[in-house]
Amino acid sequence: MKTLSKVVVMAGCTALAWAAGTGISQAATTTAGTYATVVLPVTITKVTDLNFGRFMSGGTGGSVVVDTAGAQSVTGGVTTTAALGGTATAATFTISGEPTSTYAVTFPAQTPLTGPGTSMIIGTFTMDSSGTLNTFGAAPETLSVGATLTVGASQASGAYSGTVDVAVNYN
Amino acid sequence: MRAHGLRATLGSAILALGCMTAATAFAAPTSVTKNQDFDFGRVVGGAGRSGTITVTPAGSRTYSGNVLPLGTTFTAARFTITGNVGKAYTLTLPANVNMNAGADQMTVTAITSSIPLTGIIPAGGAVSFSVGGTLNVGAAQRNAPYSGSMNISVK
Repeated sequence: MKTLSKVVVMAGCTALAWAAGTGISQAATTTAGTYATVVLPVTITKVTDLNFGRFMSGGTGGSVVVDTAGAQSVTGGVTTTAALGGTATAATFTISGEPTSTYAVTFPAQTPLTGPGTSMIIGTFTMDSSGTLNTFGAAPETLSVGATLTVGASQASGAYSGTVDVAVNYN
Repeated sequence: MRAHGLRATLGSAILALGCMTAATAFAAPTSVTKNQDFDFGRVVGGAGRSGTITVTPAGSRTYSGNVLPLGTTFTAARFTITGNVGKAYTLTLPANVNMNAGADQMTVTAITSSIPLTGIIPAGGAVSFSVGGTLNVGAAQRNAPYSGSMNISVK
């Protein structure tokens, strides 16, 4: 009787030890989703240069404003007449980026135009878009840029030119 | 006869004790659960821009090459190991993870953990850790949301 009992207990132990061994060697696993979104780089291409057109300086200083539609206006001692011709144009750029992503346009704080006389300063940039300004659409859009040119008193006549760097970046 | 019977009983008792110890280990195996998915966020890439974006286990995002990370939404993966206090564990991370957007693919490499890959389950019975990696963006990478699965195992 005693011997028989011993045999039964040993068999039970063997079974349990095997089960425990299986539990230790089995790896527990889990899965994390892995995500990334690749968005298109911003593109910007100049189409039209910014042109303040022709104007006459006066005995006092003033300014010439070109709006985003390319319309020229003058303030202070600066005057213009139709006889000088409608040569003013807003700058235009074709820009594109990831649809629905927002963007910011940055301009230099002040840019000089150099020519025969004292340099004139461009500032107070304005902008408009053929799409939704500051948000890219599905198609490329036209960004129009206007600005204000500060003209000195009795500014020397001649052609003045300079370069404005316009940057478009994702927010 | 009487003496022989006594030895048999004693042997049975010792064996039964051994069985109980083994059975305890079986009842609470080491496990690992996911607390947070792995997200690199938005990345400007493709159209000639290639490079890498790395999210560290500590949760910071860096980049190299011509790609550019956008926005502030990104996170390392987070997991918790649970098991018996004092038990050794070994963590296995994948060498790399593929992410797909349709037929297009990107690979996450250099997958690292915030904790060593081997350790002992401390008081409390749980170890939380983070996993980071490096996303490789190709110059011709198509713009799209990509997704994949990172399998972590612990034993």
